[in-house]
Amino acid sequence: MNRAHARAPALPHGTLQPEQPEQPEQPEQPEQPEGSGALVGAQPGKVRKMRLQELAVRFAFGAAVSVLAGLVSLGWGPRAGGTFLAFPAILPATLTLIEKKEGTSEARHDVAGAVLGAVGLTAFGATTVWALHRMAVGLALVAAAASWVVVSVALYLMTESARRLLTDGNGGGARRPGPE
Amino acid sequence: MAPQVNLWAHGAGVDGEYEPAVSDLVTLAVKAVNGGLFVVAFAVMAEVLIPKRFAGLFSAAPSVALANLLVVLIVKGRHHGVENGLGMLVGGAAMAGACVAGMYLVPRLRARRASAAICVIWLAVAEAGYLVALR
Repeated sequence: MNRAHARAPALPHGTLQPEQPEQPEQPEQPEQPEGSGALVGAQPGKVRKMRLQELAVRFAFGAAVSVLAGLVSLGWGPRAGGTFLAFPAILPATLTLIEKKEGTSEARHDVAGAVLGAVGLTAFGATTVWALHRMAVGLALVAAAASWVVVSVALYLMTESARRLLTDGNGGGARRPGPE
Repeated sequence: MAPQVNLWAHGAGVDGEYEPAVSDLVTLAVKAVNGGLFVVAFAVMAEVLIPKRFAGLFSAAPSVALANLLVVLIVKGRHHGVENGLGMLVGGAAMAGACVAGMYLVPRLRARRASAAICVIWLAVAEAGYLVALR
């Protein structure tokens, strides 16, 4: 069957097709509404949906911020350069892409998570300073990365559990995580 | 030629007076490539994780920090790493503050403008923090 026929309703012969106004790109529906389902999960299939252009934008952001941090270190010293190691390098590209694909509400959820990640980033800095005085530099980096994971994930689990508990208590729509 | 540094040996690292063994331009180039790759790796992790609030943790991941510290520790040694870490304390706090502001700004300004505002807020807070606490 002709695909155009399948989509458009039939018009009387000689009738002009009404001009369709250009529709803005509709955000995709999030596959799992925020506040429902498991506290933590993964959809590995989404990797295949990522475009090369999106990854290139992120690579460019990361490279640019690294160069900026390096230049600041050379100009004003390593402490000043160190502040730029915590520059929001991933956030701008991520927020813009999430809003485009999934809507503003999902972008807001992402930035709420970034607050907790940023606290973990401060823990990363503190652990770096502490560990570099006490252990091999490779181990110090591993310890610093582990501190980011532990602090940010613990904060996420605490705040998200509390949020869901409060939402349930108020008669909200959130479901407790668990088997269906 | 980079100095031979064993990352896993205690006491390893170039301490004391810094002698630039690798030209600063080469170091910057390595940092740029490394930074880009780490950011892409964390961005891919963020893409597959759900829910978005959890994935958001990775929007503030230490991607640039890990990439740069790795190079700094190999080329310039522990002292520079410690100094970078001290700077990160201020930068991380500024990031947290900017993201709190972002929670308010994203629904009002939309993502693109809110992202620009987040960067400006981060710059102002980090600069103030550096001048007050680290300089």
